[in-house]
Amino acid sequence: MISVVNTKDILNCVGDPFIKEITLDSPITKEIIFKLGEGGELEYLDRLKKPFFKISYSENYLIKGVEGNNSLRVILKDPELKNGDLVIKKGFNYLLSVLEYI
Amino acid sequence: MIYLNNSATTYPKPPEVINAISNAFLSYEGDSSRLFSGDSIDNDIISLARKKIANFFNIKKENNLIFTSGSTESLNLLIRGFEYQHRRIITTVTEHNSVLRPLYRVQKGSSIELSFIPCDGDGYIDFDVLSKEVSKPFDYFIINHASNVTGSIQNIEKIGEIVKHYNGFFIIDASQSAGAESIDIEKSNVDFIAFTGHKSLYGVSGIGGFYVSDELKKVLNPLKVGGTGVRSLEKTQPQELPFYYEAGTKNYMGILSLYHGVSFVEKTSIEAIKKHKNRMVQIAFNNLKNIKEINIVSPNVIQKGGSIFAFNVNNFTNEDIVYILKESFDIIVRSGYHCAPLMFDYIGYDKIFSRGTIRVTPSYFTTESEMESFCFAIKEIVGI
Repeated sequence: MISVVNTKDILNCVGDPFIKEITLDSPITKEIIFKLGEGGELEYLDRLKKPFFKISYSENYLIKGVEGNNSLRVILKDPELKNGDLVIKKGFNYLLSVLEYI
Repeated sequence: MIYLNNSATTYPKPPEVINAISNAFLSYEGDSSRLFSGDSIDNDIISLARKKIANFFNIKKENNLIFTSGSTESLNLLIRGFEYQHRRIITTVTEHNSVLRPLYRVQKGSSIELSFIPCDGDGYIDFDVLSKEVSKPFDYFIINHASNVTGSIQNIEKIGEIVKHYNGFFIIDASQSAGAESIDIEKSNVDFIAFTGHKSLYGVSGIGGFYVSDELKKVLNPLKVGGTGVRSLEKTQPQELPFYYEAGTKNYMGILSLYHGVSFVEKTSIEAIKKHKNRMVQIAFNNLKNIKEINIVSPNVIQKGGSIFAFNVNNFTNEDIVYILKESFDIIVRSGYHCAPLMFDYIGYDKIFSRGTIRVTPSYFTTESEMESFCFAIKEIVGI
């Protein structure tokens, strides 16, 4: 099982309200990416040596990262959305539930 | 790692800066004037740096050059320490938040009026509006010398002449230009110039300063008072410069780095540094200009010798491009509004840069191969 070793809130210049960076104890594999992708709409740039992925979920959050790296981000899609923190929590919990079965 | 975010802070620093700081840490740490006798500071590094930087900007009286933690502190002192007479400040839409936020703060709850001069799509200010604005009485005319968004350089000699004609104080934010463009305080009729040390002066972060004219000093109060090492029995801050604005222990290591950073710029020459940076930007421009998915900010400024390559990519957010560059290619660039939010209503077309830009800024130490790697990465991301 892959575990989360750290989480960090990120603030960016354009003022996106909720971005959580999650560090895992091992690299993100293609298997994890496609497993995460089952719950949403997956964009997978496999033309890159280290492929980038971004998954958009109907619950208003995104998960993005790069295959082979140890960190990924959960991002609120709509900056105007109320209770963004709860949406991010939902995204984080979804991530944990997928990692549990890897 | 390929570092292309030199407008934020330059990296790496020149070897002489690194060596000087390392040696100083190994020999002693602190203000050399305290370590020596304390009554003669003519030859300590702080005095030498003050002389060197004053000379660099053609400041006749070196004690009018004050050390601070950087441009933000300098500009806060300028804007919040002033005794406003006409209660009117003219500035431009190209300003950084280090100017805008102190201005909004003094404006709040007061009758101070702010007038903003617009710029064109490349970031050059509108002289017709400027002429109209200066015809009404004002206290300050504050302008960002070099834009950190487009790379445009304002003609400060021409503007200084106009501002002086109307008897206002002429203020320059030289955060991006100090060390990157020649600045002559005398020629440009400047009353105040704010600069930072960690960008194109190649010092470390946490050091910078300002120049203040004797005339402006009469109506500009210090924001902090305290120990100066002189006139310790007096209850008020010594009026003499630089002590009037330099309370507290100075950033000795920062000043030391600044001394050697400025020496590096002088030795290399501003012209050579500019030429190199533009050559690096031209590599990106020539490689990427014909890709239809890529929108480039102000190609005119690049062609005029600019040192910023800013762009965005259709169908990608700027944040995703920056993220991919960092995580997949180990290339550091920056996205966003670059702390100059007003400018984005003026550059580009059809609000194409309304979510900011991706900014690539090389330094004198950037290599051709690093720029080519950046271009390769962008092409791979776009799928060319």
